Formats: sequence, C-alpha cells, structure tokens
Amino acid sequence: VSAPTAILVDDEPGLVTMLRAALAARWPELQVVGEAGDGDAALAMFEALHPDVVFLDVQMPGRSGVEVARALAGRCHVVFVTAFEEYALEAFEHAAVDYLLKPVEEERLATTVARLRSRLSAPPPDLSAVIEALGRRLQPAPRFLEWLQVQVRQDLVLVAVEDVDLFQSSEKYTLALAGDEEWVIRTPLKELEASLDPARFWRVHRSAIVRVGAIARVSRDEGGQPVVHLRRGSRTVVVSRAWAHRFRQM
Amino acid sequence: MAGWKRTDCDGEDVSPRAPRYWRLRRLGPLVLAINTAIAVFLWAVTGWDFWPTLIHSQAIGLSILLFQYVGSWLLPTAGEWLVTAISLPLGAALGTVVGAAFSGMSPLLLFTNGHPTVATLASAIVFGVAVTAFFSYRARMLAGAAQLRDEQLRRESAGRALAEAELKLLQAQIEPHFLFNTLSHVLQLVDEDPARAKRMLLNFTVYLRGSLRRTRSGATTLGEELDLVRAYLEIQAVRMGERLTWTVDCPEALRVRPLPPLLLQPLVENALRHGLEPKRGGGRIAVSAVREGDALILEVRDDGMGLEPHRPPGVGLTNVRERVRAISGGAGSVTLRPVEPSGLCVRITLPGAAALAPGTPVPAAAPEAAP
Repeated sequence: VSAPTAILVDDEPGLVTMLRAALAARWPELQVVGEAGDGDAALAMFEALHPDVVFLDVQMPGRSGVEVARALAGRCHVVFVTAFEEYALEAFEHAAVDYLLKPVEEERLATTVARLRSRLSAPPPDLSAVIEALGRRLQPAPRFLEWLQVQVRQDLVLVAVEDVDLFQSSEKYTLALAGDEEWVIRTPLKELEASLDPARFWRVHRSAIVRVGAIARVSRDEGGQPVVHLRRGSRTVVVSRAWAHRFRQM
Repeated sequence: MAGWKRTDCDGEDVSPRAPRYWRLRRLGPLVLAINTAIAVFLWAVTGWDFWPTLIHSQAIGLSILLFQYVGSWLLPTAGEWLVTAISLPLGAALGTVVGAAFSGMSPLLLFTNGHPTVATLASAIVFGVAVTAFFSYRARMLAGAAQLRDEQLRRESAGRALAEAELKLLQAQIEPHFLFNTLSHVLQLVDEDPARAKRMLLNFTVYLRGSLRRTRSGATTLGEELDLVRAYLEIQAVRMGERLTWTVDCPEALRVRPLPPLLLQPLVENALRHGLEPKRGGGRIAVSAVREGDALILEVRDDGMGLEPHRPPGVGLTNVRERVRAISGGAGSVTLRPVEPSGLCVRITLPGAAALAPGTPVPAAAPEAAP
C-alpha cells in the first residue's frame, strides 16, 4: 500500500504552512502533495494528483469550499477547515463530518487524523446532505436588487435602493426620487419591479413604484382614489384602481 | 425654499402657490372681529353714531389689510415695517373715503371743515399701528414656536438615530472570524517567526483598544482612527500575504482633527471582506484623508470585486451612513462609486463644523445611558 496523499486548500498561505507542520508531526506518513489558494486551483490540483484526502477551507475567493466539496463528492475524503462560521459549525455538528477549527488544536487534529486513518481504506462517506445545508447557508435566497448605478454629472454613483422613496417612469427612462434628490436610470419600471423586494416596494400606479417605508400617510382625493404622501418632500402619488386594494382600511 | 413648511398642523395645504389666499381666509374673521371691537370702543367713548363708526372701522381695517397684501405681493423682498408704513396711511385714507361713501355721505364732504375727518384718520392710524403690531407679534410667536418644535423634533430624531447606530455598531464590531483567524496566525508565527508574532500581537492590541474605546468615550481624532485602520491592515496583510497591498495617506496637520470613532474602519473592513478577499489575486486598498476647503474628505478605495448589486448594504456601511447623517445634521454624505476597471470607492464628506466638533455629543453605550 502506497503512502496516503493529501492536498491543503486555504486562501491564507500562513495557515497552510501551519497545517502542514502540524500534520507532519501527527501523521508523518501522509504525503502533502500540493497546496492551493483558491477553489479553482484546488479542483485542478485534484484532477492532476488525485489525493486521498483534501483539507478544505470553507470560505475562499472564487469557488468556495462548499462548491469544491460538491465537485469532489465521493472521490476523496474531505476535511473542512474553518475559522469561525456559525453556519458551518451548525451544519457540521449534525453530520459525521471531519472538520478542523482554526487555530488548529493539537488534540483535535490527533482525533481527526486517527479517524481518517481508520477510514482511508473504505469509500468516502456521502457528504451531500451536509454540502447542501452549507450551500443554503452560504447563499440565502432570494436576493433582490439593492444598489442602483446612477449618473451624477460626470460620475457614476451607487445609490442604495433603501434610500429611494419613489420610482417614476417617464417616457424613455425611470426617475428615482429620494427626498429632494432625483436620478435618471435607464432600467424600465417594469424590469425594475421584477428585481425589487416586493415586501419593501409597492407598485401603486402604472408609472410609479413607492417604497413602503417612505410612505407618511394615505389620503383620499375628491373621487375617493387613495393618494400616497411621502415622508420626505411634498410629492404625492395617486394610487390607481388596480392597486388601491393595498390601501383599503383594515 | 428650504424650511418652508408645506402643511401646517391641521394638514391644510399651504403650498407656496396659495399662501396669501390661505392667510386671508385665516385672518379675515379675526380682522373683522377686531374692527368691530374698535368701533364699539369708539362709539362708547366718543359718542359717535354707531353704524357709521362701524362702517368706517371695517372699511379702514380691511383697506389696511388689503394694502398689506398688495404691498407684500408687489415688494416681496421689502421689510415688514416698510410695507406697514406704506399700507397704514394709504389704508386709512382709502378706508375713510370708502366708509364715508358707504355711510351715505359724499366723499367730497370729508374735505370740508364740518366733518370729524381728522379724528377718523387719527384713530385709524393709532388703531392701525396697534393692530399691526399685534399681528406682527403673533406671527413671530407662531413662527418661533413652530421653529422650536421643528428644531426639537430634528434634534430628537438625530439623537435617536445616532444612539441606535452606535448600538448596532457595538454589536457588529469585533468580528469573530477576524479574531480567530488572527489568533491562528499569531499561534503559527510564535514558533516560526517570533518577531512577526510580536508585531502582530501589538497590532492586534492597537486594534482591540481602538475598537473598545468607544464604550468609554466618544471623542477620537482622525489620527487615532487611522492608527486603528493601519493596525487592522497590517494584521490582514500577514493573513493574506501577497494578496494584499495597502496605503494610508493623511497630511500630518489633519491627524488632530476630531472624528467620531469607527467611521473609517468599517469601510476598510468592507473593502477587504467584500472587495479583496473574494478576489483571486487579491488587490490594493488605499485609505486617504484630505481637506477640501473646510470639509474633511475621507476615502477608502479598493480594486477588488466591486459592489454586487444584489448584496444588501451591510451593518457597517448602513451604520456609517446613519452616523454621518446624524452628526452632520444631514450636511455630510457618504457616496459610493464604482472604480474602473473594478473595485469600489467610498467617500465620506464631513462639512467643516461636523468634522471640527462633532456637535451632537456622542452618547457612548455607557451604562448611564441605559434606562
């Protein structure tokens, strides 16, 4: 039987060095055949070297450790290495997963090494459940548009949608209004509506989307149509019939 | 028009388009009542006939009011007293003529000796001055009260926003990930490179002290904030190795400028976490402070991943924005700009007053601040 091989994956070079030293002391026959600093490099290295074990940092630039683990599924033993990720710890604790916490404690490493040694001859355990749980925690869906790029004189400026009180469509463009500021954006209102959080932004008219938090009060005009008054500025927006139900009295 | 209150407390529309009209509607009945009171007084004191006295009094009072409006409309920039000085005699004269006509006398008779024209005019002027003074005083009182109310509201909400922002900041302050990672590195360096381990621990001490200081006092300087930022970046540079390069630029003279604590540090942390850490090759962070006139301009620029349009503004950025707004009374700003070819530049502008003296005392999350 040839000596077991491993690659170490971490975006912090110092920690790779430290892990390597600790492993050399605890598991002398393990051959660390490579070190990678990001997910893509780790996958390429795996395809080239086919190590038995991959020590994998959870959070890395490019492909995250979770994505790498998904790609490696079943082809090698994976030991997750993490500094402090609550979501990761939670996922690990509910499954038989090998993981190390940074800074790596000698004893903890010894336990992990012992477990790995006894398991190396068997096929790697199925980690898909853990990986899915981790993935969900890393990427909380759904995500909405949070920033707008607007032109202010010569400059491009980023404006948080949370600052915008009202989106109003004009003939060719959309106006974003915040207090007494006003910006022109090129995204049509309809497209904008699809990307905004529907809990925070309400369509009130064919040509207007209003931020719920920006509404000061709603009155009725002579014809009984609801009229939205904004907290900042004096602007009012008439609510058209199709959306009036949102402002019916509770 | 800044500060123009668009609705009064009854929610009535007083938009700039119809203020006079509105004021007339409000003042009209009051003026009629005062005119009547003057007539009753003169009738009782002088023994003049009641009805002609009432008609004269109303005619003169309303004429003066009319001239006040015409005057303030024609001379919008003229002082209140100039308008009054013009409208009083004109109104008194017109009112006397109109009053005479309405009480069945020929206006021409006014200029004959037999009629008490002089007495009418004189009392018109005396009462006109008194009533105008009363209204002017009343308007000033009302404006003063409204201003006081506005000011109180503004101050209360600014104070509340600041306190809330600071509480959040405290909660978000020392990121556990950073803490444990740093300790890991110190642990590793202790054997390998004791000198570097020592430097890292020293930097970490500076960072911790700076981060915790705000629980004791809110007053810090730009220099102290930059020291904190520098310590943070040095620690991160050890962590990330070649992937991170950084600069901190600040003229020596600016270092003593007072600055609320932790305005820059959260931005640097963001630049690192969202800009450079996820970028494969890493990158560069440039922190700078410059003076532009009286204003202090602070900038954190990185060439990292840039702002992902779907990432919600984090606690740090929201916090900095809220605090800048609160301490500068809305005059300061935090702007974000994309950097070409990639990256983000966050710029804090603090107007002179806010940067020099953080006007609103910073209520540190000290125990005595809690109820």
